[in-house]
Parts: sequence; structure tokens; C-alpha cells
Amino acid sequence: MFENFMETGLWLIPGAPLLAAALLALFGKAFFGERSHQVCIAGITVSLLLSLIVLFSGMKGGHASVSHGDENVEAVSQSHTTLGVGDNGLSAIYKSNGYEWLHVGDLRIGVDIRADAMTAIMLTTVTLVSLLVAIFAGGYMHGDPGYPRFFAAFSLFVFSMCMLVLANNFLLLFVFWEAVGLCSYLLIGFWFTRPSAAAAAKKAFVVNRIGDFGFLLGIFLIWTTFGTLDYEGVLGRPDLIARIAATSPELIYGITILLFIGAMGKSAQFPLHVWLPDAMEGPTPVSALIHAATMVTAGVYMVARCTPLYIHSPEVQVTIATIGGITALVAALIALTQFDLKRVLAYSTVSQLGFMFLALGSAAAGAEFATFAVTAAMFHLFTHAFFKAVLFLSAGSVMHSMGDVIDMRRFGGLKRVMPTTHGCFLAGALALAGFPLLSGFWSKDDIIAALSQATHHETYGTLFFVLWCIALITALLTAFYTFRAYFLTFHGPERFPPEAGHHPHEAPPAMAQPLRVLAFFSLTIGLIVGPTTLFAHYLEKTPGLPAAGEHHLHWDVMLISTVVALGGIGLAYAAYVGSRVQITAWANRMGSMYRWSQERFYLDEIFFALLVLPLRGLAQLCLLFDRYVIDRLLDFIGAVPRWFGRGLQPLQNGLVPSYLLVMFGGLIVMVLLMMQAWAG
Amino acid sequence: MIFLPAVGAVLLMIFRSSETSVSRWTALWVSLATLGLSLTLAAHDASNMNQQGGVSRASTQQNPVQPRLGFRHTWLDFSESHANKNIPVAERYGRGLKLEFYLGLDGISILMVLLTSLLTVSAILISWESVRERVTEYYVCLLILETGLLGAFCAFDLVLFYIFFEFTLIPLFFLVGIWGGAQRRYAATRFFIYTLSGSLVTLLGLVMLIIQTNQQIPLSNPFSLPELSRALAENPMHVSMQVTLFLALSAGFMIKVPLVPFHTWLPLAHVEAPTAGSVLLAGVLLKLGTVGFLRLALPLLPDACIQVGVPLIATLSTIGIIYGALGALAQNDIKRLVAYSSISHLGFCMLGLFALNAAGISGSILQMLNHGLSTGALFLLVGMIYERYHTRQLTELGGLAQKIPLISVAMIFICFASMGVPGLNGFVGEFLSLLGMFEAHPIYAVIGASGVILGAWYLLTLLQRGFFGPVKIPPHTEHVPDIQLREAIAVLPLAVLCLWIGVYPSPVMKTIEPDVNGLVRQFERDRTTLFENQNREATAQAVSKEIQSQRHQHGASAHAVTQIPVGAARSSDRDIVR
Repeated sequence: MFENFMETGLWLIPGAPLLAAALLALFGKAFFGERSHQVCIAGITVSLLLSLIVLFSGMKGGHASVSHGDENVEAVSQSHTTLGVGDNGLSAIYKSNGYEWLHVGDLRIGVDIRADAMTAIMLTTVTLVSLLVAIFAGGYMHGDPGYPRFFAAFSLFVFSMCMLVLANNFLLLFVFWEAVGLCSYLLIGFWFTRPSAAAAAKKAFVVNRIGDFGFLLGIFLIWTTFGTLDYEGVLGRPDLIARIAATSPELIYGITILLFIGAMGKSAQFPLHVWLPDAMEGPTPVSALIHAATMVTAGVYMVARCTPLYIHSPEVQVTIATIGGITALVAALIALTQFDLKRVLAYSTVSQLGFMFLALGSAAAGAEFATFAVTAAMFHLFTHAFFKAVLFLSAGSVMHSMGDVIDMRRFGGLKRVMPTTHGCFLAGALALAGFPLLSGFWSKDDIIAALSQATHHETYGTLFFVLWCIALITALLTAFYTFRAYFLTFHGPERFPPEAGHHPHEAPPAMAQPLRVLAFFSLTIGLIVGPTTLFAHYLEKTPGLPAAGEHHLHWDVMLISTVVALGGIGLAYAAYVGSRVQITAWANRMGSMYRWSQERFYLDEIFFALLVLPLRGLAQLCLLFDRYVIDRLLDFIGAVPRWFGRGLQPLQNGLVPSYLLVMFGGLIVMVLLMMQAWAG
Repeated sequence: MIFLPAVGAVLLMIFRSSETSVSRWTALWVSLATLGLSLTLAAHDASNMNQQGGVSRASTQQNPVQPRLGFRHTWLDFSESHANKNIPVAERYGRGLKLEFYLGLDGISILMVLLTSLLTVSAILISWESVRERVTEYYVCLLILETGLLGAFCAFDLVLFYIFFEFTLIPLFFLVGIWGGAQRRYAATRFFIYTLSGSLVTLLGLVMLIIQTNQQIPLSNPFSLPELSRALAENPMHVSMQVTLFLALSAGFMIKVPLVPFHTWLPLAHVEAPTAGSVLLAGVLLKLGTVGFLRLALPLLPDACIQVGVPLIATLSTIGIIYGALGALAQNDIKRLVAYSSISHLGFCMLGLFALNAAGISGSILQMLNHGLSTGALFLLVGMIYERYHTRQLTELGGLAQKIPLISVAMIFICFASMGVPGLNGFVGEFLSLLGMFEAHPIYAVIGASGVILGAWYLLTLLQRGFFGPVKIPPHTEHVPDIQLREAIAVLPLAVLCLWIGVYPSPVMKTIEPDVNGLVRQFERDRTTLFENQNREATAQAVSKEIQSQRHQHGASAHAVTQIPVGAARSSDRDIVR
């Protein structure tokens, strides 16, 4: 009974938002109009409820809660014997086969979905945050002429994201990987009349395509290596992976690095992070959902999902950790000096994603750390989704009331005018800064603990020590820039820009309620599932993850990060409220460093000079080549017969004597030839 | 079915009426009837396939090329029955000549026939009001063109194929030359001479091919494609002969496709052609080149395909992918941009074809269909925009999404289909083509795949400049109407098919599966005989071992990962898998 229910139920998780998207796209303007958000919310609610069922049924006992009788829904349990980590009691996978998408030669790809522990966590996060953001957007987008269009694209995104995490093979993963990119394109460019929005949308899509190029090649390599693209055939066969890794490790390296290039594009890792800050051109709910909480974490999810492959290529993991570290640090440095509130948050997202990759990379220290590292990354992903969403939505609320002004220099002291927004932003900021006992604190701790474990590794120990330092510095910077933004926005003398009108107002209930819920989650969710190891034990059931060691709290790390977080907050307070530190004087003293940070290290310009300009030049060159080389050559060839004809033309000059002359000449030549032939 | 449009054309010519609407409606009804007929045939074929079920999939197709439905009629017979009447030609060749009217349908032609008949309907609908001069002649040309195209796709006789192949030139020449743009004469002449000179070499190749084959193995029907392919599969020609023939045959096909550097006729012809001409030119006519490769070069000259075809064509098509994309990037004229994107897309198509494996060839055939749908639709939409604003320059247009929202939505949708966003048709074809090539020769696939990035770039630039941002339109065009019902009917089926093939490509793949399998089996057999696979694998293994030993010496480093040639180690891992 339950199994049959779950088979359709699993399909309904992405299906309900898809239905909503289709309804809104077809009848949105004519029929739903201002009620469009209700359709979207209804769809997402259905998915959320079903995701919760999946989540809790996975929690009940570690083992299969699904009977084996049914053909389509089966509990697949696999045994792991490699690496000497033993069997770790795999949980059930809900699995449901759709239809055959492609069948060419040996290639057989079905639209099949499945849910395991990792999927359940992702699903719940995605649908919960989506629901809250959708409710918020119902108020935020009110009165926009593209209201139905917004919710159609929004629902389509939720559908694609659910399918992305439910996919049961790499191709399906890729399909929805690009599909979320498409939704992101549509939503960044939502206000398409603004040239900046159209440009940002294009940039996001093209930069993502660079990553997807790597991902696609990675899929090809998986296909030629394993002969299948199903998770079971690749990730579910650790013995096979081990054998391939032993005989031709370069294949595994190739696959993992190519997949990681895909992840770099989607999850905005240095140097492919340049699209994410520009993506803030989209409506703020979109920034909150897609560009902070869900889509950008797809890369983290993918790398975590492919852990069975990554544990065989420590070099790639070190690369991941290094790139994650660089990203975290660079983005945090840039965030220090931005004045656009949303951009500060965007760079903070990039930085936090870097943190997640740092965690994933720290698994290089050994296969036995892999699960711990993955857990740390996924946990940070989980908590980050909540506190970053609340930060973005609060920023949206500020924008809403300030008449779409987002420059922090133009408003201030909003504490009294917008108490709810202020409280929620503060909750999110504290969580992000890693204030003790809040959710960001627990997940960041795990990452730093994973890194400090990795420092004991003999080969990469030094490197990981450097990365550990970077992580701590970044954590300090995070606390500082977050509270810089907070103090600049909500403290100090009250100032409003003229765009705000006469009465800057608090958010309407439709916006305030989801903010409160998200703020509550960002304060408490870490404490509920973090130190209680609820999260870690649940995630461990994901098939493919090697068994983890004991979980214990890292008091030393907690102490350090508490000091770091409080230090950062204190510094920001001193600089922007207490004015004990003359921040402008500091900025001046830093001189060029400050400018570099404000100009985002000139990365956009470098990209433009190194990639865009040469390609544009090459494109022009192609055209010139067409016009002046190929066409000239053709004209030349075409002209040859004409020249030939022209060369013969004088002969036919119509003068009988000249004809006679030629005839006579010809006769002589012939006679000579005949005589020669005769003579032998 | 093939001659239905021709009959319609003749009728139109005989009863030419001054009433233009009569000829329009006649043309429309004729093309619709053709579409209906081809749909019936496709449905018939599908039900046949279903009835045979697993049997047809399992049963091995005897010939590399074999139509499932056939119609043959001897129309010029110089063969033995007549040879008794002392015809010297026949005696000299032992068996003699027998020109057959051999038409047939296999999976490939079914798809192409459907595409052609569908696009013709759209082309007629889109010309409804834009063509005002010599209306009857115009539709006569369109219908004759359709006949030529349908004939070429269905011909299973070499001579017949060539006749139809060339025959399409004439109506298109007139379409471009009479109803085209400002430079139409020049464009038409260039297009004609370009393709004609190529196909003359092809004709030479064909004649040589037939003479050679019949000297080796006398056939009862020397021009019949299935018989030729079987005969050549049993007794392959000498490789050097095959190479010569391959080069001769491909001369015409390469120009038709077109592969860089034989492409310069295409942008010119597209820009000057009327919308309907562009639609049929890009959507269907270019496929004559690829179908030529598929029908003639691959089954008849397999060794040459492996030896010369792969390095030559794959290199050219890889260059074409990048070159076409870059060319499109630099354009200001939307129509020219779409024309260059065609070059890029056909590059994918040829790349997949010369992967010479099931994935690649299926992908390539699908790509032909996809390109026809998406580029055909793009040209339709560009035509609509031109009709409204009388310009195609991106410098003069902007923010059209506010002015003509429905056309813009269609444009965005088709652009996404064209750039290969998953869930729409372009992705499936590109993915399979590249996957096939990656299996066979990874390096081409890697370079080709970068075209995917460029594809997104130029199409999104088109959208950004033309449709988003502030409104910028030429003066006196403020109140142009959005999409008309007639135009919507022309575009909608294409868009629906784009979505359908993207979401559920299986039916299409099933249709072409037996034909692809027939072709591929040929290559699997040939590879083992020609290249001594074992040797190759052995060297590959040696290479990978060498790499490994080097790695051990120098210590493993993360950077080495990217430097290792993927292909070298590929065969060795296959051993592990099996």
C-alpha cells in the first residue's frame, strides 16, 4: 500500500510544481493573474509534504521500509567491502522507473528517479525554502506586470531542482542541471527591459555553459569507462571503481576533475564565480532561492553524490579544497568593500560555497574521513540555505521599502522603521557569522574540524594547514563583512532615499511571516540536528558513503571559532558603530588593496580581456577570412574560364589573312611532326 | 506521394488564374495532402514495427541499406531481355543497364519526408502575404522543390537519387533569383554554380563507382542501392579505389552540407532568399548533403570512410562547428546569424555521422531533423520580424519583447532548442553525436563540445540585443501587429515537435534503429578486418602502462590528470569492464 503510494508520490514531488508551471505558463495571464502565486504555492506545498514523508520514512530504522515485492519500487541495498571500512548498513532507496528516454546501441537511458538519504535532505531543504520564498514573493512581486510569468518560471525551477536531486543517472542529472540554469536565466532576466538584467542573464548562462562543457565531457568519460550512466552502475560499484583506479587511475582523475569543472560553474567557484554577483539583477526572491539557497549548491550536491569516485582521486580532492579555499578567501575580501547590500550577500554566498568545497576536499586526507567531510559540507549546505535565504529576503524587504534602492550608503538606521526585518536580518547575520550555538556555528565548526583532521595527513598536511588558516581568516572576514552590512543598514542615524517616498514601511504580513519562519530555522536548526548528530547519522545512510567514525564535539575548534566570530562582530561594531576605529582612514591606508577589493580584483575585466575580446576578434577574423580569402579564391577560380576565353578572343578577330596565317603555321607544324615521326 | 506536389504544380500551371488566392489555397491544400500522406505512411510504418515487435529489432537486416517499403518500376531497360535484341551496350557490360524507378522508405527517409512536408506547409503559410508578384509561379516552384526533395530522400536507385538531387537546384534557383532580395541574381548564380560544380564531380564518382562495382560483380540491377550495398559488403573494393571514389562523391555533398571551407554560398543564398526559400534551404536542402553521405558514402565505401572520411570530415566539421559559431557571433544581420549557426549545427551532424557508431549516427540523423525544425522555425520568425520592421540589423532593433511578445516568446523558445538546452530537441542530437564521437575519437568531440559554449553565446547575444533591453525600432513601425493566426499555425507544430523530441525521443530513435544498426554492423565488421583491432588495443595498453610507470616515477600529481590522452587508455579500461 505504502509502496504504491510512494511510487506515485515520488513522481508528484517534481510533478506538482511542473503542473503549476504548465498551468501558469498557459493560463497565467488570462485566468490566474494576481492569484498566480497561489497555484505555485499549492504545487510546492504538495512537494514539501511528500518530501517530508520521504525524509521521515527514511529516518524510521536504517533499513528498508519498502517491500521487495513491487517491481518498480525496490529497496536496493548494496554491500561495501572495499577500503576496509566495512558495511555501514545502507538505507532504503525509493526508486521508480519512468520511461525509456533514449535507447541507442548499448546506451540506455531512462527517466528514473530515486530517493536516498542525501536526496531526502536536499528535497526537504529545496521544497521548504522554496515554499517560504514563494510566499514571500507573493507579496514582494505584487503589482508586477509579469506576475504570472514569474511564478511560472519559479515553479519550473522547483520542478527542475527536485528532478536534479532525484535523478538516477548522470544524464538526467545533467539535463536538469542545465534546466535549472535555464530557469535561472529566465529569472535573472526577468526584468528584461533593463539592459543590465539581460546582460547578467546571458553572462550567467554562458559561464555556466563553460562548466557544463566539462560536466558533459565527464559524462562521456564515465560512459566510455563504465559503459553505463546509471548511479547503480557507477557509484554503486565501489569494487569496480577501485579496480579501475588501480589499473588506470588517470580515468578516475579525468572523470572527477571534469565533473568538478561542472560544479565550479554551477556553484560559482573561482574563477567561474563571476556570474553570481551579476545574477543579483534578478528579483530578490530569486536571488534568495536560486542564487543562494538551492541551485548554486547543486555542485556541492553533485560532488558529494560522487564521493565513491572522488575517494579514489585524492589529487583532485586537494585541487577542490584549494579552489574552495581560494574562492572563500577572495570572495570574502571582495565582500568587505561592496556597498550594494545584495552584492555583499552574493559574495558571501560564493565564499560559503567555497567553504563547502573546502570541506569536500578535505576528504583527501583519507577515505575514512570522507563521510565526515561530506557530512560537514552537506550540513553547511543545509544550514546555509536557511540563513542565507533569510538574509536575502530581509534585504529584499529593505529594498521593497526603500523604493528599490540597495546602496547601503543611501539609507541607514532602519532598526526602528522595520523591526521585523531588522530582527530577522540580525538572526541570519548571527548565524552566518558563526555566533555560538546558532546554525552557522555548528556547520562551520564541522568544516574547520574536518580541515584540522586533514592537517595530520603526511603528504598534504602542510597544504591543509594553510587551508585551515585560510578558513579561519575567512570566518573572521565573514563575521566582519556581515555585521558591516548589518550596522550600515540598520544602525546609525535614520536616513531614507527619496525613492522610498514619505513612509518607509515594514514588510506586509505575506513577506514578514516567511521571514520569521526562516529566521527561526536559522537560529535553531543547527542546534537541533548538529550536535545531536541527527543530521550526520541520517546522511550516513546514503549508499556509497563509506562508514564514518565516531562523532564527537570538537571543543577546541568550537572555542577558536567562537573567538573568531565574536572578534569579527566586535571589529565591525568598533568600526561602524562605536567608531573607535577610523575605518575610512584604514581604507585610505590600504590604498590599492582597497581599490582591488572594491573592483572585485578586476576579474571581470581580466575575463573580458583574456576570453571575450580574443574570441570576438577571432569572430571578426572569420568573417574577413570568408569575405577576403575564400570568396576571393572563388572569384579567382570562377574567373579562370573567363580569362581563358579572353585569351582566345583575339584569335577570332574576323580577319581572313590572320586566319590564313594561323592555318599555314599549323600546317607547317604538322608537316614537321610527320616528318619527325617518319624519320623515327 | 512524391508526385502529388508535382501534380499540383502542373495543375497550377495549366489553370493559372489571375486570382492569387486560388493558387495559394491550391498550394496549401496540396502540401497539406502531402503531409497527410506522409503521416499515414509513417503511422503505417510504426504500426508495422510494433507488430513485428521484438522480432524486427532482433532480426538482422541483411543489407546495410534496405528500405522497408519499396516501389520499383523499370523505366529504361537495356538489360539482357533487351540485349537479345542486339543492343551493343548491354553486351559490353555483360548484363547491361537497367534504370529503375526505385523508390522506398526506410527510417531515415520517413523522418526526412515528414520534415519536408511539414516545412513546406509552413513555408507556404509564411509566404501568404509577403509574396505578391508572380504568385502562381512562386507556388509552382515551391511545390516542385518539394517533389525534388521528397524524391531524393526516397530514391533507392543511384541514378534516380542523383536526378532528384540535382533537380532541387532548379526551383530553388528561381526562388532565390526571382523572389529574393537586392542581390538575388548574384546569390542565385553563385549558389547554382557552387553546388553544380560540386555535384558534377559527384556524378563522375557515381559513374565510376557503378562501373567498378559491375566489373567486379555483375548485378541484375546495377544502380539499386540495396543490391549495391550488399554486393560491396560481401566483396569490398580495393581501399585506394574506395578513397578516390569517396573524395569524388564527397565533393558535391561537402558543398551541399556545407562544410567549411565550402560554405560561403550559404549565408549569401540565405540572406537573399525569400523566407520560404530559406526555410526549405536550411531545413531540408542541406540535408541532401548529409543524407548523401549517409546513403552512399557510408554503406558503399566503408573502408574509405574509416581511412579518409574520419580524419578529413571530422576535422572539417570540427572546424565548421567553431567557425560557424564564431561567424554567427560577429553578425549584425539576424538572418546571416542564423545561416552561420546552420554551419555550426551541420558540423555537429557530420561529426556524429563520422563517429561511425550507433550513437553517433543516430545522433546525426536526429540532428538533421532537429536542425530542420529549429532552424526552419528561426527563419520563419526572422521572416516575420522582417515583414514587420523591414530590417534585420541588430543595430536597428531592440527590446522587441515589449513590442511583439508572442513572437519573442517563440523566438526565445526556438533559440533554446537550437542551442541544445536539455528537454528540447537540440540537446539529444548534439549529445548523441558528441558521445558517439567521444567513443571513437575523443579529441574531435572535446573540441566540438566547446561549440556548445559558443552556441549559447551567440544565440543569447541575439536575444539580448534584439529582444531585451529598451525598445529600439525603425520609425513608423510602432503599431505592428503581433503574431497572426496564420503565422502561429506555421510555427507552432515545429515548436511542439521540438519539445516532444526533447522530452521523449524514443519513437524517433525506434524508427531509425534498424537502418542505423544495418549501417553500423558494416563498420564493426570492417574495423576488425581492416585495422586488426587487437594490435591497436595492444599499443594502447602499452601506452597506458607507460604512462602509469611514468606516473610512478615522477610521483602522482594532480596536474598530470589533464595531460593524459584519454583515448590512449580507453581500450585498456574496456578490458577491465568486461
